[in-house]
Amino acid sequence: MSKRLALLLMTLFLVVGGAFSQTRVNGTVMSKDDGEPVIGASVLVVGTNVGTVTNSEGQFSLNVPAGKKTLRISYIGMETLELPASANMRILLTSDHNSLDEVIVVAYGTAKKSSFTGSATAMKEKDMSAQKGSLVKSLEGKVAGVRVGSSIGDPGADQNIQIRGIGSINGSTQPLYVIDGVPVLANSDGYMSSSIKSQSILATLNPNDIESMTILKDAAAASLYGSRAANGVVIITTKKGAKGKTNVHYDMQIGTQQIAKKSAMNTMNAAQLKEYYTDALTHFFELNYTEDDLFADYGTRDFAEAGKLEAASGWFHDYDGTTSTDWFDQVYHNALTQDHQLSIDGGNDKTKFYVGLGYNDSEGVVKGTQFQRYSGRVNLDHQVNDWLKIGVKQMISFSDTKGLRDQGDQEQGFGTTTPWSVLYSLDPTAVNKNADGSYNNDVAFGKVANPNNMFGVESGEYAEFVKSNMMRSMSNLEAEVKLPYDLVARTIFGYDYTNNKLQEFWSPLSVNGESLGGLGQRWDFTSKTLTSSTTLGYNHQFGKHSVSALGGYEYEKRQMPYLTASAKGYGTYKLPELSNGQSYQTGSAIYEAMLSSWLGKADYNYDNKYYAGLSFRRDGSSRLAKDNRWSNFWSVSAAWRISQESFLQDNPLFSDLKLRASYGTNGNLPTGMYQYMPQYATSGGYGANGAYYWSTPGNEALTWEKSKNFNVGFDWTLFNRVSLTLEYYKKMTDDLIFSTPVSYVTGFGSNINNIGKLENSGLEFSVSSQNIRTKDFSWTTDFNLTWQKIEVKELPGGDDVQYGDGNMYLLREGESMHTFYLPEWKGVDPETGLGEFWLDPSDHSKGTTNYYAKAGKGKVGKAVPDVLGGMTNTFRYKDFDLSFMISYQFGADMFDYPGYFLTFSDGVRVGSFNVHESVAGNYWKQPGDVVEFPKPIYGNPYRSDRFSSRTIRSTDNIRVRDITLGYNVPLFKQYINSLRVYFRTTNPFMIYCATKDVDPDVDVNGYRQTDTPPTRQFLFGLNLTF
Amino acid sequence: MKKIYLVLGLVAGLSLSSCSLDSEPTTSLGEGVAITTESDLQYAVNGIGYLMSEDRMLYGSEFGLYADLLTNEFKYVDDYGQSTAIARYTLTKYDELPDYAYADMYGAIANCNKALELSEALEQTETVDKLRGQLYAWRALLHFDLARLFAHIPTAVDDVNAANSGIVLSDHVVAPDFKGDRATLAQTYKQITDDFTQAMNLLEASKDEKKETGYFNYYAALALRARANLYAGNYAEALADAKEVIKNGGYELYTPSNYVKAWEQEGTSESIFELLITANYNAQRNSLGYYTDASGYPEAALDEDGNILTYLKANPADVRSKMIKEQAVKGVAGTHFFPAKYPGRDGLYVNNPKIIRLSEVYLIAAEAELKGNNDGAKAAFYINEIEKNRVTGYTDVATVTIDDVIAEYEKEFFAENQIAFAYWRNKKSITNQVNNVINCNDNQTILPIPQREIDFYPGLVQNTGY
Repeated sequence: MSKRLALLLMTLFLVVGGAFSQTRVNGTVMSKDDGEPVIGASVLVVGTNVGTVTNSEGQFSLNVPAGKKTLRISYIGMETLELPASANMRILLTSDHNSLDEVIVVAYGTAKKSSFTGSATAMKEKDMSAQKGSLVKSLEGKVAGVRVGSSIGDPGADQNIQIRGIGSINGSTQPLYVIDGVPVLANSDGYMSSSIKSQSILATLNPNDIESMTILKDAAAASLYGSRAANGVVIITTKKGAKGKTNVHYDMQIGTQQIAKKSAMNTMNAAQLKEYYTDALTHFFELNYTEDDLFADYGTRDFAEAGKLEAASGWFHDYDGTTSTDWFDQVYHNALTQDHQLSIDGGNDKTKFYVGLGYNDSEGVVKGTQFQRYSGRVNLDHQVNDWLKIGVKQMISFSDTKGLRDQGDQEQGFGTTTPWSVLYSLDPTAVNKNADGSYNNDVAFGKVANPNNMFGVESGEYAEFVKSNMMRSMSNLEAEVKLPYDLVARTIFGYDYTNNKLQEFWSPLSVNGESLGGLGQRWDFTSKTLTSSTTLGYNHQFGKHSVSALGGYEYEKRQMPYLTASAKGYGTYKLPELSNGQSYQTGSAIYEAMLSSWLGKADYNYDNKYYAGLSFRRDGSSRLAKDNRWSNFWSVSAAWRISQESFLQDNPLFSDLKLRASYGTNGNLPTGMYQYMPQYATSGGYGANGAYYWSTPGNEALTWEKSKNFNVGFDWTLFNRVSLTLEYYKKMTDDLIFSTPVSYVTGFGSNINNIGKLENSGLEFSVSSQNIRTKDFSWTTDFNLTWQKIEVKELPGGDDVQYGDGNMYLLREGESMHTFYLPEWKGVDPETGLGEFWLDPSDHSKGTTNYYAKAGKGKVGKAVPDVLGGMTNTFRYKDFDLSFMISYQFGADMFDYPGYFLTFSDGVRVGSFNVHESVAGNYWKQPGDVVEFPKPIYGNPYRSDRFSSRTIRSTDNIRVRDITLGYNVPLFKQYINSLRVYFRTTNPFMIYCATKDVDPDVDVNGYRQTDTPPTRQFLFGLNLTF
Repeated sequence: MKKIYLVLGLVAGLSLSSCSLDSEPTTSLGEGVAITTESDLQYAVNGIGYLMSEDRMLYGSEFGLYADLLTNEFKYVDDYGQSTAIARYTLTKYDELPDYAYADMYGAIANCNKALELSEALEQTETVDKLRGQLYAWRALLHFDLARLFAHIPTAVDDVNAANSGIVLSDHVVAPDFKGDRATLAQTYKQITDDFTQAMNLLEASKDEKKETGYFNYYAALALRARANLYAGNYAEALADAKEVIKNGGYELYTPSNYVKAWEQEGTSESIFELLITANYNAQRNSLGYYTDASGYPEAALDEDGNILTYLKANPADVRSKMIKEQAVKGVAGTHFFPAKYPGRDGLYVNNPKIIRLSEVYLIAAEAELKGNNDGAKAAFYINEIEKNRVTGYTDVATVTIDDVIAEYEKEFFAENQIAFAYWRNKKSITNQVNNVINCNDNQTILPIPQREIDFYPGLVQNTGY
């Protein structure tokens, strides 16, 4: 608790102690370099825990207890001073020459940035705490080489990231997350949630508790994590208390969010859709009826006339009327979000503590969806004696999600009751409300209820919902023992417990529940991971030589029990619990995975000039057959700090200059626990009896995917103001874990294998510059750019492999990963109104076809961007600060899955879906029309709607991600250390977007999902410290 | 310093503590230990039925109505886009329905082959023989149905020895990199009948045992061999097989008094082989009952202008007229007639599809007499037997033609995946739901091989027209 507050309280309670005998001192802390006040410098009375920080004028004042005479003044990036306390002190801090030599957390320890030979980027607290819901989002546009995939716009949904491209095809492509030294569960892997709803395991973590996040990119940095490091490693360190003053922080944020690109969801209005349906039916008759047939059925020989008669005959709820309902606002709304964080940290010579409490409540933009997280963390560090240090960290969080089914599996199609599907299933000629004010339930083309009766009504007659309660507890126990001969032993126990209770209910009259008389289902997923890691470290300096080494053993055991039960035949829609229905299906299983590892590393440097490093890890995994279980991973690295050489010393142009290179191997394991094992599943049933079936062909020879990783880079700091990093990497992955497509005759669609080679290469550039730094005004710019290429190098027999939904992706030697391989669209024939595809995309002279199935396939795009990055500018003027962040991406395409259903449907979905607004007035009506869309045909036999280059669209964009305007309120200074208020908006607008009516944020494999797209937020927040 | 040694000891102890890396799945068995007893083999046989019970384009889902939807005897009342591509003949090599059938049927065949291979290590008891016989019968039936979907009917084409006219044959466990070519039609049907024969050999010892609903016995294999012989144009064999089933099988034709009830029950007197469908294992919203009901996907109603509905409405004396239900579909004008053969035992989803029943064996005999022996009088016997048991006050006819046999298929077997095949097998055309005439050997009578098979093995020959 703040000294001031304590005093205040004492005064209030009139318990003024007479025992105090103190001296009041005050002063100003300035920078020697530019004479500006140093804000937030820590001032501590040496030998006590009395201290304060300087205010925005650089001033401080505090009471020095009797007998204490010395103040310690410190600030990051400045040299720490100890001075005798006196009145009206004027303190000048000089910038530490190693100011950019921050300490970063790396694999199994920490390293000074200057001496680090690998490639790593550290993110600091302020970069992360802004994103209250998702830790991963904060990486967007901030770190070179990192690509953040779009998540479903529902709160709490999962999100993928890529570090330096794609390391695998069917193995995991997600990095390893290590929190406080313990690798943790970060992805559901399909073992922690049902496929009915996307849920992020990382959303259980409160970003506010995090001190720093380091992204390890190359082999030198990551190889120590061996078999799981192929996709990079994200090392997260939670906050710690510091010796000195106790700080109390309160952060608050409230705001609203809505769909960022609403035009992506615009539908045709009633008149447009009636015309479209009529045209589609007319063309259907033209294709399938003779005039005589037509006359027999419709009493007319005019096709258009028959089309109108048919369209009026029950396709719409009110064909003749003028009703035109825009259903958007019945499905989506402006969602409210709020976040509150309270934390206290402090400590003395022996004990340091951090306590954090957080509450986040985010409504989703779909009505009735919500995410709430309650979290708490206590971190304690205690120096027991001069040789033993212990640390205890405990986190617990509860995340509650309410919502609906989504497309957890992208290839599933377009679920009947997913919100976007519901929006397009609604008939614009139907009215939303009945005369009596109740919601009209007869509103859809298909079997969909009024969204107001489905979404957010948990016990309504037509209700459907998915709820989850995720609980996570992470416990760390650390002990560090100083041994003789410069040895340090360290052991960490980590226990990560996550439980996800998922519930789904379809009321008896609901769209999905009707045929079963209602369905209730519960799932209980648990993950228990115990990690034990013990290392022995050695640090020694002799003369100009400095040596450090570390060796250790780590064992991880993960168990995942699972339980499910369901009931159908509900008597009432009012009570979703299973006891209210008749018991239906049950299931349980336990999955298990173990990893056993030996590891070691050694670093050497001479005179802080020449550095060399070695690392080694031997991993054994239960996910592979006994004979192929063990593998070795290693790295070598070196660096040369040229600025330390005499010819560059004291040259301000080269405040720091370092050249570094590394080479090594990383691995990747299969995502499934038992994929190698040929198996008979025993979980089937036939009649009243059990049934076995051959479920997994298995592959006992399955082994690690291995990547050989080369990295070279240089770091250059100019005038202590501008720091540049340029890196080149090349990562060759072989023995790729791939579910190779096989003939169905084998009994399976695919078989897991190690095949081929994939090469990721790229150039990363980042610059961080303090453009202006004066007393009242400062401007800093951070910019990063990544150029990358992911090329398939080798396939078995050199044969192409096609895979994915409709075999839309191609693996071909020399081509990019995630290359789309589909028929190529030529356009609409102005004479016939039919779509045309090239028979052979590689040879247009062969002509065109109207039939999709006759069109040959060609390369029509790729989901991997060539260039991506971001830029952040931060301005400070007196008490105001303004920052904005822009991200950009070029060279990648998306597969427009929603477009397939809603935009390019060409009449195929007449009777089940509305059509995107952009089609209205832009489809073929009569010979001579030059238009984008062909004539719609009900029951379209040409199937021009199918996946083709039409559904492959550019994602090139420059997007403003974040604008924040803050103000440090210069009030109540005697009571509080700082009070800042801010306005913030995320995804406010796009500077450039190559494709109209589409949000270009898609998942890393290029799939534009059929779920809620990204959102835009407007937020107000305050940060208070005292 | 003693403390140090203590800590060192602790560190060493931790390092060496449990580090097992062996883990076994809890819902499956390793292949090596899966089938070691008779009862394991029984479960593996059950597994074939299980694999056929839940997915789309199988006996309990679209394939159970397939040859009906292909004709204009049926219509869709409301288009949910589930089965209507079958009705409009617009399925392409990229569509999921051909893919489902191909994947699941070959998957089940691979399971038969695997279980046959693993069962060789078992002691060859009578029970093991019986179970192996059932696996052969499944393998034959699945090849036959794949051949009906992806290859022409032998009697409808000119050359049954044309290269690639049949399907890929799978008679043993194949390696993952298997790339197989299509056999000829003659080879395909030879393997089918050979497998049924092999099944009968193994099932012969148990042929007098009590019938087990949902499982093949000797007569089920024989009846299905009769059907395969009929499709292959082996009329003498078809007739002999059919006669033996009728004479010795112990099955009885339904009668007017039990006909309606027979569709609500499992294992009725006519049923020779049916698939067990339960509340737990069914095709849900793509099940037979869901397509043939106004409250489901109402895509399989009888067309007012068709022979079937016209006949059933006009002949109340025929018990089969009770097998239709008149229903209104929400949002669609008027009322419509749906087949009432799938009322469900526990909700619409749960109906055992009758894969072969005695009436069909009678019709096989009739058709074989007509086509093999040109004997309309002998054929009439079989038709009369069926009609007598359906129509109150029926009088026998003296002779019948092939058209009478086909008409009997329409009356007796609507919504049972027979009609289009009966026409095409006899080289007759049908009209589909979008007014196109489809001849017996038109390209559209068969489905495309899924493109992913050809992407994997470009040497595999696609059906003409796709």
